[in-house]
Amino acid sequence: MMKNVYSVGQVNTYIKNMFAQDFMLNRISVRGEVSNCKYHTSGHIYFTLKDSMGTISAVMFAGSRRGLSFPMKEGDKVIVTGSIEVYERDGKYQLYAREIELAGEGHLYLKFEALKRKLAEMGMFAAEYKRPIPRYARRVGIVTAPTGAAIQDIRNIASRRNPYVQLILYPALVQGEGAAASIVNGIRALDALGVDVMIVGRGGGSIEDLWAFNEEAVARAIFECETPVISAVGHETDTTIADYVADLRAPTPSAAAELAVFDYALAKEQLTGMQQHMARLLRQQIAAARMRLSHAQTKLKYLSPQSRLNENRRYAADLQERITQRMTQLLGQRRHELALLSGTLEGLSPVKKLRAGYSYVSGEDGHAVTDAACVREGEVLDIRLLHGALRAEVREIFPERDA
Amino acid sequence: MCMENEREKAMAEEKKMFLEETFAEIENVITQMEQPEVSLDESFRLYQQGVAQLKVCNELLDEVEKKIQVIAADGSPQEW
Repeated sequence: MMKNVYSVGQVNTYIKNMFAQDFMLNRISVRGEVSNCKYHTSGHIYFTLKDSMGTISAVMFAGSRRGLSFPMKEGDKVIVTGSIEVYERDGKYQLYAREIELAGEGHLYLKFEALKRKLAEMGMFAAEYKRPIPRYARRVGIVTAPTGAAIQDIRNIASRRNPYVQLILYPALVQGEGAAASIVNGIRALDALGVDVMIVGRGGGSIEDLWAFNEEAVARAIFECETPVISAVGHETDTTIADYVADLRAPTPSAAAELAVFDYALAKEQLTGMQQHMARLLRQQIAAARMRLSHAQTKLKYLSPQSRLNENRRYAADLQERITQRMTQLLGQRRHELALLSGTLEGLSPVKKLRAGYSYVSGEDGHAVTDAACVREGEVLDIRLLHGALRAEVREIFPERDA
Repeated sequence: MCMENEREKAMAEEKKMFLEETFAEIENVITQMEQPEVSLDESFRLYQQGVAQLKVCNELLDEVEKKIQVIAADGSPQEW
């Protein structure tokens, strides 16, 4: 039977593929101590990760350097996250680092990330579960240490903004053993007692100090709490799981007090402002009504019988004025025409002709004689002169002498 | 003690809602008064209503100063 014989390259390729197909090796976090750490000029970092049991060589390529946020050195205890792959040329496997964290902090960080992911998937951070923070809370519950800076800050802010709001403190253990349970008890106790809003938090500290606020039990207690919860853990830059699950995240305990306790003076000012606004609106309405009234008065006056009568009188006077004017005008016109006509008439008067020596000849029938052919010999014609008249007999006729 | 707390709690709840609602009602009155077609009679009525609500708000705001309380081991609030 023939033995199967493979080349070195084939074997290395086979093993590389095995590694590549392995789910765990593709994304793995390995804890160990850094040794043989070399920063290459290319930007790559070569190092060995070791613990009491053994060593593994590791590399972080320049392109992944964003995953390293501290100056890594010999002896650092770290958690390296990346993939384990085979380098075919040497037949060796290596850890290809994408992220390197210091083990102490990094450990908590990984837990934080894992819980955050888990709770997010469960919908505990979803906006639809967030309760609105009441604007005018009268009872404010506080879960924090009775001796810390947080309660002092909250008291100061609250008494300055509104001394009439009832603060109720649940004195909780906020760090160390039993802190999470104490905070959970506090949230439940105040929820049962009945407050309008609750502040859950503490002052600043290291990530370990704030850790209780990253515990699942606290997250669940906040989520299940009927009362709206404002989280106020550490400083602005500290974000805990409690902040994600709370109904509102305040950057600091002081800020939480500002959000929970309404400003009394401001509320009073608003009331005064509203009162003034309403009074102004009413005055405007009255002024508008006065204006309407005065308009109505004017209109009524205008429409009154007296006004109508006066109007008619004025109209009558106006008509009279116009008619007189028109008549005068027409009379003048006619007079002028008459003058013109009498001038013309004068020009046409026969008396004027008679004076110039012409005479008016008429036949027996009384008509004017204008054609010699129309007259018989021996006919008697009347000749009218300027002064007096003649009666003459026709002796001879000369028809159309000039034609 | 427990009964008293219950009553106190209910009262505080009522007042909180009342204050918030009354503020909202005054805003509503103002909005109505701002309508151009509102009549003078209506304006007077709204104004009276608003002033009454303002009085309520002011009364709710004027209260005694509170001392901080602390929850004792038995779960009841006490003067600190």
